[in-house]
Parts: sequence; C-alpha cells; structure tokens
Amino acid sequence: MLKKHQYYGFILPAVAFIIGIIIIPFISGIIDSFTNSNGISRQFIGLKNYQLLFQDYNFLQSFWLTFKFSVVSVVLINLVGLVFALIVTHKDNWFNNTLKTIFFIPNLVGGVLLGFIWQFIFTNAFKALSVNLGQNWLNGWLSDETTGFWGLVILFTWQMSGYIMLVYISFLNAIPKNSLEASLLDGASELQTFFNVKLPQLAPAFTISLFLTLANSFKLYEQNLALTNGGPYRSTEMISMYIYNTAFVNFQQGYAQATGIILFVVVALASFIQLYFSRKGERS
Amino acid sequence: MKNLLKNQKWNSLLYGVLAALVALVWVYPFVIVVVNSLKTKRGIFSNPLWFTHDFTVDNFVTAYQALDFTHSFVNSLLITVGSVVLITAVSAAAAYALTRHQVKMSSFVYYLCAATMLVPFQSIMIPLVSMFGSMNFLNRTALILMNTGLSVSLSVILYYGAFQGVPKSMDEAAKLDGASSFRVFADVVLPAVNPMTGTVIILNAMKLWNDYLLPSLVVNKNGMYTIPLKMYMFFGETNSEWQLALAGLVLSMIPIIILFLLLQKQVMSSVTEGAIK
Amino acid sequence: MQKLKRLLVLLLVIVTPFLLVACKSAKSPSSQTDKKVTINFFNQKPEITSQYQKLIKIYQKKHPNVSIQLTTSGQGGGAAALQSKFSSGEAPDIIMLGGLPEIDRYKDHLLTLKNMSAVKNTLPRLISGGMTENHRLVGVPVDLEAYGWVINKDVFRKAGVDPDSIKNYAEFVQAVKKIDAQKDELGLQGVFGFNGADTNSITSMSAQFTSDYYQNDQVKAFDSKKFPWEKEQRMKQYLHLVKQYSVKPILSVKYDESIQDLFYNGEVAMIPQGNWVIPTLDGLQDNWTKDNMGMLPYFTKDDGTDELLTGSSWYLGISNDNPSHQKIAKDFINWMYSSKEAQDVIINEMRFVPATKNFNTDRLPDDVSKEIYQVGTSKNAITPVHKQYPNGFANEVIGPMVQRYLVGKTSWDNLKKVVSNQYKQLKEVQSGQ
Repeated sequence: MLKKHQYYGFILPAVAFIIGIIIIPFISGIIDSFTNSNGISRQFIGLKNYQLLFQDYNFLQSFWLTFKFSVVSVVLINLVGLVFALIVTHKDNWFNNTLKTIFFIPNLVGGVLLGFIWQFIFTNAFKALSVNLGQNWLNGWLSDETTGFWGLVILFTWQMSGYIMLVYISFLNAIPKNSLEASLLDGASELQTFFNVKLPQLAPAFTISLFLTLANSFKLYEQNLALTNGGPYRSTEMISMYIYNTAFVNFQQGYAQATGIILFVVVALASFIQLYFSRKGERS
Repeated sequence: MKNLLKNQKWNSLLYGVLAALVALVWVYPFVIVVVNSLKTKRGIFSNPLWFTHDFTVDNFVTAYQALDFTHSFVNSLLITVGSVVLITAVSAAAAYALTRHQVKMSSFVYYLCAATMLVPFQSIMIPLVSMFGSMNFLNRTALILMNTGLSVSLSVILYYGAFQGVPKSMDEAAKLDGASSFRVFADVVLPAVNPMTGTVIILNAMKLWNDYLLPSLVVNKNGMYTIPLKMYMFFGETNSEWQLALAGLVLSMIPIIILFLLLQKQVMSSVTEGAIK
Repeated sequence: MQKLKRLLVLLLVIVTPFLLVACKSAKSPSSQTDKKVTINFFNQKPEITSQYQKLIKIYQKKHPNVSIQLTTSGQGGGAAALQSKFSSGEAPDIIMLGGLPEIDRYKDHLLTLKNMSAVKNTLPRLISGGMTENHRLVGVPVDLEAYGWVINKDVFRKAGVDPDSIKNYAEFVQAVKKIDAQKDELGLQGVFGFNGADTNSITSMSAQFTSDYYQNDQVKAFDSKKFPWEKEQRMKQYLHLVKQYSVKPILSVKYDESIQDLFYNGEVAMIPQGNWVIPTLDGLQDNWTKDNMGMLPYFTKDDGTDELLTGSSWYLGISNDNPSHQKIAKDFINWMYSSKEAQDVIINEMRFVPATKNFNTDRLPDDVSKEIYQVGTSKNAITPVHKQYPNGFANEVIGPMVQRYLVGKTSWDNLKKVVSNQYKQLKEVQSGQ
C-alpha cells in the first residue's frame, strides 16, 4: 500500500524522537549511574552508587514514603472515585452532570497550582478553623511529619478522584440496563444490586485505576514541591523530589541517576505485574 | 404503594442534598482561593474562610503585572501548541504506517513504543537535560522537541487502535481514484479518526499546559517562562502576601477552566479513553 | 470532517512564525539595538531588586549607550536558574555568586578581577570569599552583613534587661530566663522567634560554631572535607535553649512570619537574623529599627572577644564569555563601589554596610550599621563560613538534621554522624573525587 520509502518516511520521525529523547538518554543514564558525575566531571566508580543508596537513610525513607503514599492514595482515590461514579450515574440529569463536572475540575489544574492552593488551606484556613472551633489539632499541618503526609494524600485524592471516577463511570455505563432491572425486579435492594451485579463488572476498572493511581503517585513531584517541599526535615520528600534535589541541588548526578534507574526497575516491575493480572482477568 | 412512592421521593431528596453537600466540600478549596484573592492582607488574616468587608480587585492588577501574564501565557501557548501539533503529526503518521503494513518492523516499533512508555520521566531527566545542555540547546524549541519525544509513544499507541478500525478498503478506493499515499492518509484516513485526534490533542495539551518539572530545567529564564514557572517564582517572591499569590493562582487557573467548560464532554471522554487504553 | 484538519493547519500556520522568531531571538538578543550595548546582571537577592533597578537607571542616564538588564532569581531558585543560564550558553555578564561552591562551579567562566578599583578597596579579610581554589580573585563582596541575634530593644527594656551588659553565655541564659519569667506581662509568645521551618537560617546559625575554626580563610573552609565539631557542646546548648524558649511548634515558624509578625509586633524578644531585616522592618513603619532594633552575638568563646560574625554572603563576578562586555561590566561595578551617588542609594535604601576600607561611618544611617562596620573592621572580626559548605549541605543535610534534633526525632550522636558523612560525601562528589 505504501512504498517502502514511504513506509519509512511515515515511521521515521516517531522512531527518531523516541530514540533521541528516550532511548539515548536512558542508555547514557545507565552509564552515568556507574559514575560519580557532578554534571561537569565524571569518573567510573562501578556499583558504588548503588551500594551507597541502600545505606542512605534519605533514599530509603523517601522510597518507603512513596510506597506508603501510593498504597494509601490508591485505596482512598478508588473509594472516592467509585462513590462519585455511583452518585453521578444514579440518574442522567443536569444535577448529576454538574456534580460530575465539579468532581472532575481539580484534575485540570496543574500540580504547582494545586500545591499552593492546599498550602493556603492547610496553613491559613486550618488555622482559622482551629481558632474558631478550639481544635488545636488543626494547627501546623504542614510542619509535622504525620499531618504533612496526610496533607499530601488529601491533595492527591482531591486531584485524582475525579479522574478515576471517569474510569468507573465508563464501566458502569457499559453494564446492560436489563440486568440491573432484572435484579431490581427480583426484589434485590440497591445495595444488593451493587454488590451482586455492578461490582463484578467493575473488576477490570479496578485494575486500571489501581495502576493509574500507582504510576501517578510514583511520579509525583510538583504537588510535593509546592505543598511541603519535603519538609519538615525531608520527612515528606518523595522519590521524585529526592532525585531532583540530589541531582540539581547537591549536584550528585551519578548518584541521582542510580536512583532513577532503581525507580525505572520498580515501575517496570509494577507494570509487568499489572499486565499479568489483567491478562489473567481477561482469560477468566 | 403510595407510601412506597413517597418514600422514594424522600430518598431521592435526601440523596440530592447529600450529594450537593459533598460537591460543596469538593469545590470549597476553589471558592476559598477566589474569595481570599479579592481581599486585603488584613482580611485574610482576620478570617480566611469567607468574605470580610474589604473587597478589592487590586490584587489582580498587581499579580497580572508581576506574572507578566500576557507574556507567560503566550509562552505557555506556544510551547503547548507547538508540542501538540508535532506530537499529533508525528504519531498519526507513524501509527498509520504501522497498521497498514504488518511487517516485522511494524511490530518492533509498536513494542518500542509500549516499552518506552514504561520509562518514568525521572529516570531520564538528568541525562536528557545535560545532553541538550552540552549542545547549548536549552530553549522553547528544545522543550517542544523533548515534549514530543516524551509523548509520542502513548499517542502512537492510541492512534494505532483507531487506525485499525479504519478498513483498508477505504485506502484502496481512494488510491484507485488516483490519490497519492500522503493524500490518502491526510484526506481520507486521518479524518476518519477525528475523535481520536481530538483525544490525542486534549490529553497532551492538558499535560503540557500544566507541566512544571521539565520546563523548569529547560526554559527557566527571562522571556521564556511559562505560567506554572512564573507562578512558582511569583509565589516565592510574594512571601507572606497571600492575597497576591491567590490572585495569581486564580489568574493562572482561569484559561484552562474556561476551555474545559466549553469542551466538557469532549475532554471527559478523551480522558476516559486515555486512561482505559 | 475537514474541520479538525483545517484547525490543525491553522494552528501550524499560527505557530510556525512564533517558533522561528523564538529561535532567532534566542540567538541574537541584541540584534536590533543601535550601537547600544546591553549587558546582563544576574541578581540573587530579590529583596533589593528595586534598588538595583534604581542604580541602573542612574547609571544609564549617565551612559546613554549602555543598557543593563537585571534578572532576579532567589528563594532557593537562584542556583538552579544560574545553572540553566550557563548550560544554555547565556551566561550573564555580571553575576551575583553565593559562596565558593558556586564560584568553583563556574570558575572557567569567571574573569580575574585583580586590578579593579572596587577590589582595591575591599576589606582584606573578605577577599578570600571571592577566590577560586587556587586563589584567583573573581568576586567583589556585595556588602558587610552581620549574623547573630536581632533583638527587640523595647522588649528588653520592659523586661529590665540591658543587652549591652550581656558578655558571656551564662549571662545570655540568665537574660533569656529573666525575659521568659515575664512572658505573660510582656505579651510574648516566646523569648525566641526561631524560624525552624527555614533550613537556611539554621545553616547560618551553625556557622556561629564552625567559623572560628577557619580564621577568615574561606578557601580553607571550602577545601575542608570535614565539618568542624570543635564547638559542638556550645552548639548543643544553644539549640536546647532555643528549643525550650522559642515559639512553638518550632518547625512551623517561617522566615517572614518571624520577622513581620512575631518580631515586629513585639511578641518575641529576638530572632536569629542579621541586619538584612532592616529594610523589611522599616518598610512596615518608618524608622522602626532606630529605637527598637539591636543585635547580640552568640557567645562561643566566653573570653570577652565574642562578636557578631560579619562577612558577605554574596559576591559580584564578571563573566569572561563575552569579551566586549567586560569593560562595561567592570565600569558599572567600580561606579557602584566608588561614586557617592551610588553609595547613597546602597547605604540609605538597601541599608547595606559597605564592605570597603576606610569608610566614613558618619554616613551610615543608623547605629546598628555603624556598630557592624566597627565590628567588621576590628581585629577580632570573623567571617561566617556557611556559604562555603558544599552545595546542598544547607537544605538537604544540616538544616533537616537540626530540625529533627529540635523535635526529638534524632540523637545528637546520630546528627553528628550523618552531618559528618554527608559533608564528606558531598564535598568529594562536587570536587570530582
């Protein structure tokens, strides 16, 4: 259909971009991770970066934090997203469509802006609330390790739930109307219908949402930067911020790159696990 | 039976009130930002939760100038539109060729796209930036090229699915009418997947418009700042002047929210499609 | 069907010229100006942007063929912004440099300034802060800053404590306790308004306990692969004092809040800052600092010679990337450091204390500035060394570790261990070893 030179003409730009912007930096990144590069000079130091990483308190802590954050966010976001989806698919009218829009809007705003919005809420609005209600625990959220973590989780849930809601909506809408009606006619309550008819159909939606949330939380940077900037004492510094600071503040670029490679391995593993489960799900 | 209906009415009213409450809580962060951006510093200090008696729009004037908003907006637009156009053109062409020729090369390229999607940006960020830096090539054009490289994989895969749905007989018919291969692609097959083109444009535009990390490494200099970059700087400079920072936030959010309200249906279906594929 | 495609083509048509212009303008920034030479000035102190702008305006009026473009970056973004300028080949002509690590990073781009008139007048003690590792002079100090406790004299007066009578650590502790005992009557939230959220302030505080070791030799401080713990006991004592008597929660207090709310409103007796807070405070109320502000040193030697640390955090350097701009850059800097007109703006509006020899202190607008100049030119004067710590050490290592210590999340021994290890590791990587 296409002549040979035409075929290559069509695919060449895309391939060139992928090689130039992803593959070459990726390979050069693997090499860099075995050096002590500071951005200007570099020497080959073998596996030393990787050895040091596993003794580096800040690395281990930020990795663990990212993991904890991902698990908590996945649960919350999917829960909220599903509830939202059920609310707005309840009936098709203007009211529910407005709700859908409202739930989705936070997803449009960029991470930096979101971080600042919530910084204002956690510092100023929470402070005012704590004074008005006499609830001291609302004070100083972003200067504490635990509440700082929950601050990030709340921000991320607010941002992502509307997005995940859309995934659930599309699966909910795909459920045949008559099977729902049949269930209701059989005398099942709405709750029973949800558990017996809707939930089983949502299994693939859950897998998708799970990994979308996971992938996004592993790459989280801007929200982290604008909300807590890692503080207090680097306790809310997630893995992306760890990489950025190590590379561009400390200029330990080889070391930071080693972290980047570890991040890649983790993300790739997670994706293979997802693939495995979704294939398995399709077969059964 | 009458009782049951009455019950149902009450139920749905209760449901409506509850849902509205949830939505109010959800939208409140935006409300609080807008409300406080219209106050003086003193007003924010005395009660940040609602309006106080010190309405002002001066903050917006100050923030608009400090953000150099027109300029930042044009930069954001240039970078976003430039990248999106390039991404769309490059990935549509590639995906078309891949679906039309089921040769080894095609499946190799397809898997290359799938595999590179696994690479998190943070894993290549340092070498990518230092590579362009060593060529003294860090500016808006460089950013557009980088954005394209980073987004092509997903877009090719999205397009791939769409082109598969276009029967080859369509190409052949056009060919018989004497159209060149490029014409066939541009005039016949590409228009057939317009919804997907919309999806690719919307997904990438949303991502790139809001992007901060890569621009901060590539165009972090006078005359090239995008809105998120400028906003971040402005926030640092305003110190504890929240009224200005909030006015800046509102300004920065307005364009995308307006655009969303205009294209709501399309945006939501695109986002869904991008998530599920 | 055709609509979308038309839209795309339209967009392409709109965007292409922009792109071309963008590429072009990036390559030749001053192509259109008629004979006028434009030089770039990179400033890392956002709080004095407008004053610099004023100086530039005055200078441009006198030299109509010179145009100076000021770029300001700060709040922690300065280093990254400078890096991106250098790596994109757009090095500024005049560069504000923060410490020897930054100088070392760009040393190949920096011009030797040995024979400039501005340099000849520099306080000799401060010269090593503008040198490369092999003692090539590339920077002029911006001003003379003092580091210590900024005190609210009004609070001290009401508490019945004479700050001038405090001569050693024991007396300092006594004063703190005396003020603390009257906390409620004085309406204080705490004796100290320690801005624990701020890793930069913690870092400059740490210099109180490390600077003495290097005796003004900034190159030696920069070369050092170890963090000096000679005064760790006193450092620990001060931290405990701060922890006990500062506004709580200690890590939630931010820089601006500590100055503009807590200190200005008399809710704390002192904050760990220096004379750079003067313009902010006087900006809130004219001449506020005149009667209300004083400074107290840290007492680390206790032999009567303890004074405020004085030095310059920032140095002005000139890039050698664009030879035709060098003379203009030099002339401008010389002018700033010698003409009366420029100095009036610098001392009265920036509220800087000049880092030059034989300056007539009568010209300085306030007592604190006079005291600083006097301390800074005395023979016991010590320069703080925190700017010579490796890149990232402030915000990634010592700041967070001290924060942890302040809230009881780490032991002193662990703090020492981590700080020492990381100092060595960062230093080694950054010096390419």
